[in-house]
Amino acid sequence: MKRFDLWSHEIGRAGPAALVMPPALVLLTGLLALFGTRLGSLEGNTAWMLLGAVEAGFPLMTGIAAASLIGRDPAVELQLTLPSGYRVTLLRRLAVTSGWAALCATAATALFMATGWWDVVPGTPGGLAGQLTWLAPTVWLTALGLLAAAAFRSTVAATTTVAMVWLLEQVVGDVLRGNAVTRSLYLFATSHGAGADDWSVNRVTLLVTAMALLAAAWPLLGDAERVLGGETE
Amino acid sequence: MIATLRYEFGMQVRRPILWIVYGLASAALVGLMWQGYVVPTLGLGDPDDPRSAMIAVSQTVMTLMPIVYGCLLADRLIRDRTLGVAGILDSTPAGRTGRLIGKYLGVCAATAAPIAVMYLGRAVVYAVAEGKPQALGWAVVLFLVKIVPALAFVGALSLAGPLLVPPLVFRVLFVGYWFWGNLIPATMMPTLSHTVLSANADYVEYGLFGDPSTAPGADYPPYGPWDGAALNLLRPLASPAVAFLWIGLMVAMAAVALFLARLHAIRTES
Repeated sequence: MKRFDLWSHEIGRAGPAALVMPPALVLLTGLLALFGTRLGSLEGNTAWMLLGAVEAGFPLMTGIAAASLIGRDPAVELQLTLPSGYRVTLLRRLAVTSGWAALCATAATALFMATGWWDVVPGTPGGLAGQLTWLAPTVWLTALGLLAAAAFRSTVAATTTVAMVWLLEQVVGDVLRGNAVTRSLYLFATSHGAGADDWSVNRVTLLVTAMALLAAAWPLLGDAERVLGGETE
Repeated sequence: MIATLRYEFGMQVRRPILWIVYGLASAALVGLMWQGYVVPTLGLGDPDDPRSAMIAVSQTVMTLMPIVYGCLLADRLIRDRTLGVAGILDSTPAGRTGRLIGKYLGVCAATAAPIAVMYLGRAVVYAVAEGKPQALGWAVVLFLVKIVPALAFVGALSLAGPLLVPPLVFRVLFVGYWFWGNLIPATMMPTLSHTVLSANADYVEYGLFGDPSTAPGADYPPYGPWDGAALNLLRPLASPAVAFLWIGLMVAMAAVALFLARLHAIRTES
């Protein structure tokens, strides 16, 4: 019962904003798929935008949400004295927002696969592997958001970092795809036409490096003095 | 107002986090936007000409930096309420409008300071390395007529936005807005990009500093409507008048955003 209480508390605490955004994106992309052609968008263009929205939209949401996780507790000193560790609480909180976004992203991807939109863009992986389209960049940006929040101890700095990385990946994608190392870490490889081999390497590299980012964040989050000493403004 | 301005400026400009995040951003700028910042051309102009070099650097800086600037400003206006000091500040003789304007000018100036350092610093390096001091003059003028109006609008938007929608939603929407409404090509989808309402439009360069498409031997289309793009009504052909219209619109939109923030304060007051 206690466990259920904790989870329901975190769901309530996540707030309507974090819970409404992912389904809103599913709804918007669904409307685009339904009415895009009628609005004058070419089929190829609509399909590419749907793919781009799934691959870039969900990571941006979860990344910014993860970056805003710390520093919102009015009495964190009390939390740090509880038997349930603060890190576990943060992970539970992260699981609520990211898990919900992941559910929505899975549903959107499955929907576009079932309706044939996924096959319009050549070379887009289907089936279970196709879910890596959003999963890899989402996990990576979420891990980056959490690490930035733990390292900077400031929500505004962490969210800015996530926003900056997301935007850079969009703006200087050509430069990043031109180098073997940055290509394997490029977040939006699916919508920018990576070859099948490159794509698999890219997705696996993203997942592995995301774990490294999380591992780097873990000790920082466990440091009670650090958590307490965050920027209060 | 002046006291608020000075206090807010000092508070923001002394935040270590501001300089750390801008430091990361400038490293990314130098590393990934080498062509544009270090080699001052984006393919249109001559890097040896101080005017076109400074235009290219301003365009490069304004692609990335406004997102950092906007995100760093997003918590400033809601801060008084989260810290619970809004009520105390209201009881002081300083008026709410004066405080709002002071805060706006103070935090925007402080958050724009690293951008000024990055842009004008590049101009100094260019002037010294190339032996062309006129680059400094071009850089100062471009900073005032291109960068400042854009930052005035983005700053007002970032301060007022989190009052009107939850901060988390605002941050996501702001990133989406900057990419969709300012950076993508106008033909990709219906967008405000390259319109007179876009903070990143190039009307000032083309309207006031000479259109590169008219240079001898150039084969670039003039800046204005895009073939086959939606909302071309908002993309008049660049001219000095349109450049001033763009500056006026940026200031007007900043005023509207601040007015909405002030209205919000009145609504929550009652």
